[in-house]
Amino acid sequence: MLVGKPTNRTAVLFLLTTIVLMTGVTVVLLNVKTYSGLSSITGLATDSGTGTSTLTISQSTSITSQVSSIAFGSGYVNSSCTACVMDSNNNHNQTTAGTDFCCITFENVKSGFLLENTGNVNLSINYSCSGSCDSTAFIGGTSPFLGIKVTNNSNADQTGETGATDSVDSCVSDGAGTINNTDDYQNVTPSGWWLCGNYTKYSLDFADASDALVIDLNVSIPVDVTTGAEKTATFTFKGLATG
Amino acid sequence: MGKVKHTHSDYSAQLVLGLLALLVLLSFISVMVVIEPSVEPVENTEASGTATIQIIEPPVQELEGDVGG
Repeated sequence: MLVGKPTNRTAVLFLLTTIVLMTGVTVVLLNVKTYSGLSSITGLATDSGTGTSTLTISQSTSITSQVSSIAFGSGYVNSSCTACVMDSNNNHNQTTAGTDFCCITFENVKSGFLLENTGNVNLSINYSCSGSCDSTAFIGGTSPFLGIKVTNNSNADQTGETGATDSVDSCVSDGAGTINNTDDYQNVTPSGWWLCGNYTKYSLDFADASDALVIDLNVSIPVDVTTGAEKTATFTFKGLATG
Repeated sequence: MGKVKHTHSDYSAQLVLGLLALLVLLSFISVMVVIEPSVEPVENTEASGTATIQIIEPPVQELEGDVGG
């Protein structure tokens, strides 16, 4: 018998063994698919007397705005100041002139928009805005500012979540971290941008202990602002997830 | 150098190996069909919030002290 050269007998044995193995693997794979719950979603009606076809979708994609209003109220700027700066994170009246506050009669807003992932998949979050959606339209005057910032609720510690208040950072899943989760406010624009994650990174967790974000606004109202009717900016927060 | 002479068993072995390669390829394709793709369309969900502000005229301040002499 030659060494290293396959003969008819060894080749046929090899072939038969391979066929048996492949058949076995295929049977096992089909059984695993059938009995382990991996069956694909189908609209095929089952063989029943009523002819009813049922479809169960186990994935739920949902965000809820638990705090959906930031109302700075009405007021004016102290004439001895250059600007009134306010934040929705309970940092009302950030500017003073001597001992005088610069923001007069405005509301002390204590809560930003509270977004909670109330589904069961991770999400990425972006925003867009309609109405008075930049600093000039929302405030006016010389060098106004309308900024937006996102903070994990484990740090902001706002109440209002469906479950317990987060104890773990929410916007860090999938290795993407946050796009805008810093101390720096970004200018609000009508087209908006990502607040957490992006097109390919779904960073907002769905676990109850880490599923909420706070979106804060910061405004700077110059002393030369023009008075007028109430201005409204309507934010739409969109959550995206893979199917 | 002499010409290499192929025997009948050489050709049979090559045929068997070729069939084996084809089997492996078919098995790979069948496994890919059984294990369905995991990437599916993106789903969306929305929430909204409203911010409001109004700038008003400061109240007229009254002058203090006596007027005139």
